[in-house]
Amino acid sequence: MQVVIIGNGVAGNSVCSAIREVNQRARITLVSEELYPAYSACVLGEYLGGEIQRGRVFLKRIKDYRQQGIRILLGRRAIKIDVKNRKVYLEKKKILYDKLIVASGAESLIPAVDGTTREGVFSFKSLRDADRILAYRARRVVVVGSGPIGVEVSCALRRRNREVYLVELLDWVLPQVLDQKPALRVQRILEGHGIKVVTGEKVEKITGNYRVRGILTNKREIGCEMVVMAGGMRPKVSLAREAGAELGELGGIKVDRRMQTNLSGVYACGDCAEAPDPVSGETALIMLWHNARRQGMVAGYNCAGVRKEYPGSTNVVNVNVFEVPVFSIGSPVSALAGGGIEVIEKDRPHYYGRVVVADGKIRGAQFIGETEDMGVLLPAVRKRCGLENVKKIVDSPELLSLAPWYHKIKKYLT
Amino acid sequence: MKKILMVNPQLCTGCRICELVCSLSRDGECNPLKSCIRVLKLAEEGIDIPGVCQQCETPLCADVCPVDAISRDLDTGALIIREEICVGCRACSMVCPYGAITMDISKRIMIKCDLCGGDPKCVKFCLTKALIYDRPEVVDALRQESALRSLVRPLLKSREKATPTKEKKK
Ligand SMILES: Cc1cc2nc3c(=O)[nH]c(=O)nc-3n(C[C@H](O)[C@H](O)[C@H](O)COP(=O)(O)OP(=O)(O)OC[C@H]3O[C@@H](n4cnc5c(N)ncnc54)[C@H](O)[C@@H]3O)c2cc1C
Repeated sequence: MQVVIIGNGVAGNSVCSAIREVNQRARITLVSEELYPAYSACVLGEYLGGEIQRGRVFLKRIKDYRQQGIRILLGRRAIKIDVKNRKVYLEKKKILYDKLIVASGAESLIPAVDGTTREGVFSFKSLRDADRILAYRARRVVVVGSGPIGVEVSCALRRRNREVYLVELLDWVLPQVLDQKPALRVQRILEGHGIKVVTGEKVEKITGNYRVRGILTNKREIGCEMVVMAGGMRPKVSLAREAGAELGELGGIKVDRRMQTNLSGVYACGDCAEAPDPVSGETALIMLWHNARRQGMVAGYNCAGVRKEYPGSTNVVNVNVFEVPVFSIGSPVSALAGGGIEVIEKDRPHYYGRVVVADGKIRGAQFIGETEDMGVLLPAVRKRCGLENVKKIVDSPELLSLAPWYHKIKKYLT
Repeated sequence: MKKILMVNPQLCTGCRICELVCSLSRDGECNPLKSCIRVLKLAEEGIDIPGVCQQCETPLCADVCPVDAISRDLDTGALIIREEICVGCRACSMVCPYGAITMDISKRIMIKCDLCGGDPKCVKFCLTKALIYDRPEVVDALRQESALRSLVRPLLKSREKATPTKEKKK
């Protein structure tokens, strides 16, 4: 069997591990347009901020691929998939496949404003981006977008003593992850470390001739030498779409619970794929590391003939804001439609916590400062457990002694 | 089948010797903050609950680890955090459904139970057998028994008033 994997991220590499667990003989070729062996995007912020050495972002060495018996083609881009003849075209090469796995990940969303091609404008997705940002001389930086990546970049560059502005279009920072009150708390931490946070302003233009000179929002002008665009990610699907792969409503490649696309012999996994969620009954596109990893494993097993189903994605985001952990699971209030929403809130000097309940079901939780026990809530959020049921457990010594870990969340629920 | 570590809170007296031997054997220091097993004391209810990693079958901690520092030890089945790789980001501790992963503040890395390579010290020193390390079928039987026991306990209690107690400790 000849397996071709497009993408050297966590999804693609999990495919390799899963196949090798059950099949030593399959011939595996992994293609990546990036030049490096596998690395972790999640710790690029730590590298950018100087908290860890560059070498620690890598997950594999070239010789690890060889040891796994994987042929790796780095710096090579797949440009076309010929589904009928089962061929992948690279720039100067074509490879035949029996099974093809598209693990092409995500790409930065660059808003359509004037000036994004000027020198000094970066996105923050890859190791190359991190290297380039580090090498670029700039005293003042504007980060556009305050999602987890925007916040991470801001903290990292502030640690490097740059003057940092963080500009957010919506009304508060981390808008997809936090509700307003916890977000304001995060904003105070950012400001306490010297980051200038600007919310509710739209970036309209990046100024300068050849190089960046500043940005214009709908309210002001900020002079700067560098702009980092962190306005979000979107699944990278063009290759698969052109080959006839069906897309889902959220813009990812549509797959079933075994990670199969509508094309025969073609699987998709990771940030580029939109998988069914058995809990909600809809499809979900939650572009996170652990989801990519699990999807990669499932795709790998299935393509090696071992039937496995994807249990659905988990929405857990954690951001380290100057050593203060910020943690969010499930949905914030702002993402839940309809009424019947109840918020159980704990606002203390050293931590903040809120549990979001909708129609009696636990749907989300946000915590700042104290986060170690929050995992206990995760299965409850995932399965949308009733608040009353969980309370019943934490209130009964008998049930609690069967599931003792529930005690850890008692104080957050009452 | 590999052996598993089971906690029976009903037998725990809260002496916390497990915490001490764990930190001692891991780090040469009797320091509960460096222990991978932690006893939770519920003062009002009068229960003590040791909390320790359950070595999940499909562990989310390993999936969220951004640097692949958590892997399964094939001999013991334990999930191991490799110190030299861990970057101390806390992601694993945040998703653990048992709250069984903590940070070693002095080293700034995450720590969790590794079953002491197949010879867990906490079990050895537990005086009341609240900690058991045995084959799954043995543990399952014990778990079942203890579950039933705790479910019928309210019933027994209500009978207690009528007849003298018959509940014995096994
Ligand atoms: C800065 C940053 C921080 C993050 N932090 C976290 C975090 O803390 N927690 C978390 O859960 N998630 C985090 N994420 C998200 C997480 O990194 C992604 O979910 C994960 O990396 C997705 O993996 P993937 O394998 O699907 O895709 P990617 O890692 O994007 O890999 C895609 C691969 O496909 C290759 N490729 C694409 N198209 C082609 C082509 N045509 N030809 C050849 N090769 C191609 C690319 O070269 C790349 O190797 C972060 C992301 C970023 C950018």
